[in-house]
Amino acid sequence: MTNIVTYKKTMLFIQELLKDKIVIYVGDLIVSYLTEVTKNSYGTLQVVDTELDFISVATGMALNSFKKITVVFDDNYLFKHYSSLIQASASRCKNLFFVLLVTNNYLAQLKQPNLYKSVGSVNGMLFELGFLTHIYTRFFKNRKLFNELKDTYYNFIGPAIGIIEVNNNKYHVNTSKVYVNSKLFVDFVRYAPKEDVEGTESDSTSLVIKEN
Amino acid sequence: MEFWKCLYEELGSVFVSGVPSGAFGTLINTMDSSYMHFVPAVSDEVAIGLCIGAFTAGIKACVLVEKNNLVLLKEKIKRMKYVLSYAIIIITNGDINFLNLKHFKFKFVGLNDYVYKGNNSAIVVL
Repeated sequence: MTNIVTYKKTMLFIQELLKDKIVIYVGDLIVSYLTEVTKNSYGTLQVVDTELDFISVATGMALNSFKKITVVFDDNYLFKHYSSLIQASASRCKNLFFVLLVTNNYLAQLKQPNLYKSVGSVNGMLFELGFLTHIYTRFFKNRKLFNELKDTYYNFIGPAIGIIEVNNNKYHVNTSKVYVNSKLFVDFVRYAPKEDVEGTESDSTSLVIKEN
Repeated sequence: MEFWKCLYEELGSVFVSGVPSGAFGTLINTMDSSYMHFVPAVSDEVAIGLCIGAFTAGIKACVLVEKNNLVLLKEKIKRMKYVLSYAIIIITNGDINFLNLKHFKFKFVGLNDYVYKGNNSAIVVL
């Protein structure tokens, strides 16, 4: 248990890491931990419905754009949409990134373990698929370690997947309705400044959304 | 060949995805890379997801879906629209009147104006 970091702190660090980037957050628990700043940013899409396949949507975006696309999801979603990950790895997109939060639960409130620990090695499985697999858990323990990751994260070349084991002993429910303005998200993906695939970022403050 | 050429002339560059199944064997054999870019997908759901992603990135997209699978995916296509607005062209085979797809409209001419400027999805039945 000592190697596992808390969910709340991890989500705060992830949001800082992916600030002003194109990110899709999938899952009701993940969305409930998002701050107001993240919810209102143009490049963020929040999806509560886990039946919908947003891994393939991100793959389609990465295939047709040079901008970096990141999807944050949990282990339950990984098993549900495993075929999409096969497609994502086969696409060989350098600008496609995934962040996997391992909770080892089907539902946060029920505490029923899912198949993550039953499968031999999920890290190895993803690596064999063709992903660059990183274990990020230790970087989320404190600020000093997190800054190490923050400096190097956007130098990675995709398709890459970062795995973080999180402690999910407190079920956080946000009853407020999720507001999604997908028009702004689509405009951000199309017209935001292009980021270099090799890692040097452009100034995201110079965002200009063109009028149709 | 004429079909893809027609789509190319109507829409410009087109991103096409779908499962290379027997139902579209003839159509897939006539594909020409000078008119379109085809990405084979592992399943119909993934193919639709790829096309929605392509539309989000600003590329016009078509997806090949078999009639029987469209029945299964109808609800997901509808629910996806609540999260992310998109407009794609679904190419399918056979009679689909029994599907009762009220949110789709049928249009066979002026696809570019109808689909991509109006943000409506459309079904092309072969």
